[in-house]
Amino acid sequence: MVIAVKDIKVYYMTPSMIMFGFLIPFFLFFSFTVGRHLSIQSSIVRLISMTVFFTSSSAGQVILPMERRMKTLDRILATPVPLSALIIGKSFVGLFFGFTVSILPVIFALLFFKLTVSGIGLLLIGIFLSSWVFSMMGVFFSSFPVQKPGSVMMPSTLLRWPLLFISGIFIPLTAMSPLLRGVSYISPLTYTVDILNLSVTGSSIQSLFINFGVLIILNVIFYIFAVKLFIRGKVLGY
Amino acid sequence: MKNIVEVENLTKYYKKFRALNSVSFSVEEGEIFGFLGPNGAGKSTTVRILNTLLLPTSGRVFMAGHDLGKEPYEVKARIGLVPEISNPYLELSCYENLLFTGRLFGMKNRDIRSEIDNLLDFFELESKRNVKAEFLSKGLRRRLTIAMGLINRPKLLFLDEPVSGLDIQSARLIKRLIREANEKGTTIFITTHQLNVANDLCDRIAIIQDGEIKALDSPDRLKKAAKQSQAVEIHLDKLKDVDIKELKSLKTVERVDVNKGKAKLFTEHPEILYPLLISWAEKNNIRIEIMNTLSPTLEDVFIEITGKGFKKGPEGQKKRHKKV
Repeated sequence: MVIAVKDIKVYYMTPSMIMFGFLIPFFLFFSFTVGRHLSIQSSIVRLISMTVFFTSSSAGQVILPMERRMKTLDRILATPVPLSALIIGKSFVGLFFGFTVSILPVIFALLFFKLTVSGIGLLLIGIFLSSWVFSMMGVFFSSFPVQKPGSVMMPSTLLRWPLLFISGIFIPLTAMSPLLRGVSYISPLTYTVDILNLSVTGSSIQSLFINFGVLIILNVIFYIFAVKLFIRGKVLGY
Repeated sequence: MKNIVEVENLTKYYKKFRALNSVSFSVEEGEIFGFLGPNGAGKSTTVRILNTLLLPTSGRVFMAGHDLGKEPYEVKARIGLVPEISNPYLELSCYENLLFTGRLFGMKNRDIRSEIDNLLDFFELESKRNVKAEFLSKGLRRRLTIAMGLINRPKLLFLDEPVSGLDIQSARLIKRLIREANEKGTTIFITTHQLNVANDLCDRIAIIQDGEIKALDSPDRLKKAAKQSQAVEIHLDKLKDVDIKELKSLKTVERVDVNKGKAKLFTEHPEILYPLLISWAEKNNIRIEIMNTLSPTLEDVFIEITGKGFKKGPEGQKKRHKKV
């Protein structure tokens, strides 16, 4: 928590975080919704999906390369803080960022657009878990030993865009061909969208158990790979 | 004296490139130890291993009584790290930077606060306690960075280029603070390219080249053991008229360099040369304006060990470990 609180103080208002974590998801949302006459429920699911996905995953990708370049990461790594605590701490930064940025439009829609949700508790848990998974994904990407945020943002964006388009945000899974639908299950965002759909509109495709199970497993996998990359960096001298 | 660092046969390969070749040395508790070497010599690799940031390929390191390979967290708790760049978090105040660093070591809030008070006072930063690091001058940021390295009261502080890029006043102050921190019981491990800093501060110096320790001793003994002889420098009123061959023919003179009105006579025995020079000047009706004895500097030692001449020819390629 000490690392997370420090990162929040130091990095939340940096231009990279505002750009990649705040503006891009909102621009994307407006690009793909304006003029489509979507219901408030559908719109809010789309918006939250994008903020959860982009905002949460941006934090690690901005912070870790900057800390590596400034050697502040070396200072943390040279203290008795376990690597697991460092990685989880870094993932909390994206989690809080993504959760906060995602929850604000929900509150706004509840107050001013008469949004009704089927399960507010499920919605909050879904946003929380998804934010954590995508934040951990960002930490995993930035565990590759690069020193510029752009060096990790570019390749990760190349990966995140296709995941975004196949996850059922823009084209519902039910409207997809069986092949494309099969491919969509590769994207972690598919499971987030399904949870959000269930919590807001009351309908979903997979069982909640599968959606939560996959996201939790992915979180663990991203964490393990991040740890392995850090240890590999200590061997290779990055 | 007890050793706080013992490095045994440390070897590091980056894929097929051997950066360290069975390096062994020790650092005594309470000393200021200098670690010098040209770029790419293996200096950073060694220090990164000691800082627990890099894993060695083979070899063992004991620090503060703990095996680095087996008890890294015990070691981490007892060391402080000050990187070459002064890198406090710019958005945080001096107090917040120190508080954060203290918390990384798991210190209790009460202990951290008291240590922060001590450090702000010691580093003359008390008036900047609540000032964000971005508003500090370069010298003040350096002081804060060193203070952050001392927050956990480390037994061993690693300092990388402690005064690099600082003005003379700031550099002198930092050097004084380093000496005082050392007097309070912290062993200091300095890596630097500034040989005057190493000369001024260090009790002992190790010089690394091509992944091997080439020399390790006190600065004075390293200089005494240098191959380059001492020199007598003279300023003459009529240097233009002087026959250099005459100076060269004086007893014990090995070589004469003339530059800008000064003649430098290299000799192993300046005490023999002085009277000979005075007699020679009187005989030739020349006035010696200034006469100085020049001893080898640490830079001479460094160049002798790491310079081009060292590598040339089959002789130079042989391993030379100068243990004085």
